Amino acid sequence: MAIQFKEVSFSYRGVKDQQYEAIKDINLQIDKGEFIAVCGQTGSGKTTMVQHMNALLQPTRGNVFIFEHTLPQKKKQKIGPIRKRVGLVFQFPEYQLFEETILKDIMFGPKNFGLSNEEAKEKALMAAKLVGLSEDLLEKSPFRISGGQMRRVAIAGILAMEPDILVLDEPTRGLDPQGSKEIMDLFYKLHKENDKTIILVSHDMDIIANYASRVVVLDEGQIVFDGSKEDLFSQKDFDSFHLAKPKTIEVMHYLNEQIGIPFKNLFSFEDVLAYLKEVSK
Amino acid sequence: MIKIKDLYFSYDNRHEALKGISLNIEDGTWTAIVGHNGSGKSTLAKLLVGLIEPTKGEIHINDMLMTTNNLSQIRKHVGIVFQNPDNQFVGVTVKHDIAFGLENQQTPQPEMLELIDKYIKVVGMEGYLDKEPHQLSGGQKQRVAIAGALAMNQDIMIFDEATSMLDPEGTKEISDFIMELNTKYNKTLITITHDLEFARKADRVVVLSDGNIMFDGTPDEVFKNSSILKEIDLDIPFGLKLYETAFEDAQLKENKKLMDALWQYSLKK
Amino acid sequence: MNNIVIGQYVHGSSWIYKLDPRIKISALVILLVTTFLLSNLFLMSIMFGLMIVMIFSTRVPFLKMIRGMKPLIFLLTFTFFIQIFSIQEGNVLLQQTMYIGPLSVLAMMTIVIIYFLIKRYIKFKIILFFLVVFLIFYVQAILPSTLIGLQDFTYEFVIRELALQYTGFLLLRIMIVVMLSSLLTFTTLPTDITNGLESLLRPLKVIKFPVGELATMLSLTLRFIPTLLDETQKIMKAQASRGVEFSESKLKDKITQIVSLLIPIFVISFKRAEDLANAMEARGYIIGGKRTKVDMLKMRVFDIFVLFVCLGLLTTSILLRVGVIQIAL
Repeated sequence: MAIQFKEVSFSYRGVKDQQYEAIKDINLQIDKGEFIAVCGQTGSGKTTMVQHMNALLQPTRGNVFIFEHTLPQKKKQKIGPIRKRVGLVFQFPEYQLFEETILKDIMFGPKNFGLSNEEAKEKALMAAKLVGLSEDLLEKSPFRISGGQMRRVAIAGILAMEPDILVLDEPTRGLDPQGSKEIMDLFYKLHKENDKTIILVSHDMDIIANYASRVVVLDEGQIVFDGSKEDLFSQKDFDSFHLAKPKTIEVMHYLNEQIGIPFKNLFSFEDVLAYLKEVSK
Repeated sequence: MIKIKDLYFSYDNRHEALKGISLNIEDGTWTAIVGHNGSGKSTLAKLLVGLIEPTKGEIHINDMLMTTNNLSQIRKHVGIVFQNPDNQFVGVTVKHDIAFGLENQQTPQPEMLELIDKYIKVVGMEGYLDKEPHQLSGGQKQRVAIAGALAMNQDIMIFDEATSMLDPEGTKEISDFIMELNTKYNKTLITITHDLEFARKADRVVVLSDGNIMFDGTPDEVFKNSSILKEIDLDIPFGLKLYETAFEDAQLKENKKLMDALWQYSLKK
Repeated sequence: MNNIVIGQYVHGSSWIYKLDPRIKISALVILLVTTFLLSNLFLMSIMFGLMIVMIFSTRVPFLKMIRGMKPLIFLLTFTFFIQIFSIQEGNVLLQQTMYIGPLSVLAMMTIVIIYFLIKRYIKFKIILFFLVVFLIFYVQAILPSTLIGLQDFTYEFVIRELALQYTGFLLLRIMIVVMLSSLLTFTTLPTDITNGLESLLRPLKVIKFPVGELATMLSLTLRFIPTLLDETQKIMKAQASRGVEFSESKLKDKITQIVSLLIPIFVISFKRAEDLANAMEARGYIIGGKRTKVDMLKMRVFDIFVLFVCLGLLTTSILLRVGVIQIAL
């Protein structure tokens, strides 16, 4: 088991000195090699929960187990090892770029975890290739490239650390549809080919439907659903989760209601087309 | 009425962002301008409010030729809401931000308070006048921006990717509101977006690519060119894409019942 | 979830909240000048007493104000000892021979080491601090090294009346300054302070001083402080996720830590400045242009009254200083 949440709550002092509980009684088990989507309305606690996964936050109640580490941490323990194994890509990650050249910035993470210059450079080159950055860009300043390219540099910076688990906080926010697809395809490839565990926080139900297998839904700090995406979209009380339906599911429901085509859980455009061809025979 | 004649714009004499655009926009209509990043759409928005000067060509707003000398006059008629909710929120509180444009126009104070009261209700944020921007969501900040623009009573309103940085709730808030502006307030609307689902709701779609107008017509007319649009990185709305891809398949095309249902689905919302 | 509100404004409804901000700012300046013109402990005590009475009448939380003075404790103690050793005239209140030798030095070092070790476990650090200071001098008085057969360096520790008086004078003066300034920030919204300042400085427009632009810059700064704090925190978390440990204190690392925060913030701020300039211009802002204001400041009779009271105090203070009025001590 990779990450486990046991009765975890996180509260903090908010406005007017009141205690505010961002997440409550979270129980969650994540195994290696999973692709999990975490969704819920703004303010439901998604970001708070995933920031426990690389020890940016420590639970105020309960325990989080990350590989062989336990949170809350005892004073003398080092957090570095956790941060190396669980890579967290923030929203609008391009804001974290600061080095003189793109290559140096991608090397920043690995160097902080103790790799030598040569080792870090090797990892950085590999990561740059993974995200599709051409070699002639590497000596340029990270501030002289397009927004989409900056995002790739930021993602490469995390991939170069070679984390076992990737936590992605809304990686497609602000990107156009083409850019979104490219980034998500990259993560999916890492999942399938490199066996990376992926935890995706997203609002986009179409992306969740297309790429994730398991979905965790949060509402007001608590988990209200944890299961396969097929189960999620056939839940009777789906509307209470305040989530949109993926377009593929929507059209399946529509065609079922209007012309009686049997409903099937399909999650990509190509699958829908193939299915329609099948039933038209 | 907006008349754009043969407009050119270059950044630093190197990158030509607009290469001879001509376009007329009638009063009270809703035009969506779409294009991939770098197609020139934001440049066009900035030109229409006079933030930059064209290298060549003319812009006429309500029969006034835009020059560097009459920008204050022009800005009485054209308002704009930008993409980043934080970077256009000037006031220390909601009240002060809505007031900002009115203060610049030297509106007398009693009138300012009336307008602020009126438009805060219109955007559904009554009770938020004393709130500070960091206490608001992205959608709320954009609503305040809209209130400010409405208070200035400009007949033309431009939305430059106003929902790109918002979450789905915020995007829906603002998109719904823009539709209201079109039906209830009879403003001339220009929405710049890469969300073709939303562009579909406009009266007219103008597709920009590499500084040129590629298509200009009603949404249905424009979206017929799905393969060319895909080439310039624009994906047409899901329902329509499904219909058109099915239409090009010999086997599926035969299934009349299916094609009808798909067409109906593509028209929804 | 945001728990920062701009400024230190505390909600309330007493008379001070109803004053025009221009009067409050002017009153603060006048009262500060008044305070600095007073020349002895007796007069300062009277001023202090008057201020205490006024503050209690405004019903502003007193404890909050006192907390604002914590950082000054160290400075005041230091000043006290400078005075003790420099004033050479006047009545002697205490005289004690002090011994600095192996024994007392050893004792002093022990006390200091114990202080640093137990510091984190003690709740009332200020009391501990004073205890330690007292002990350091006490051991010098009672531990001559002759007890163990060695020699010391000796000196006379003399506390004169004047030293105590002067320290008391300084202490009260600093407290008055802090209390009056806090009173302004606790009872006036930052926007009102900005409006008040702008209005007061308006006459400077005659010499082409950019008053309006200054006020706009000030309010834009106020507007963005919470936003910048938020963004700094987010970037800190992002860099921490890349292995930066902000609690480590090696100098070389500290520089990298700061750079990894500063550069992104600068980049964000420059982009922000450009966007803001565009937004402001599109909304009709012209540098140097005439503008109306949504906040209107209105002077009332009560404001004039308060102003006169302050001016009265100032006049009395000037007359006392110059010697026109004399008070028998």
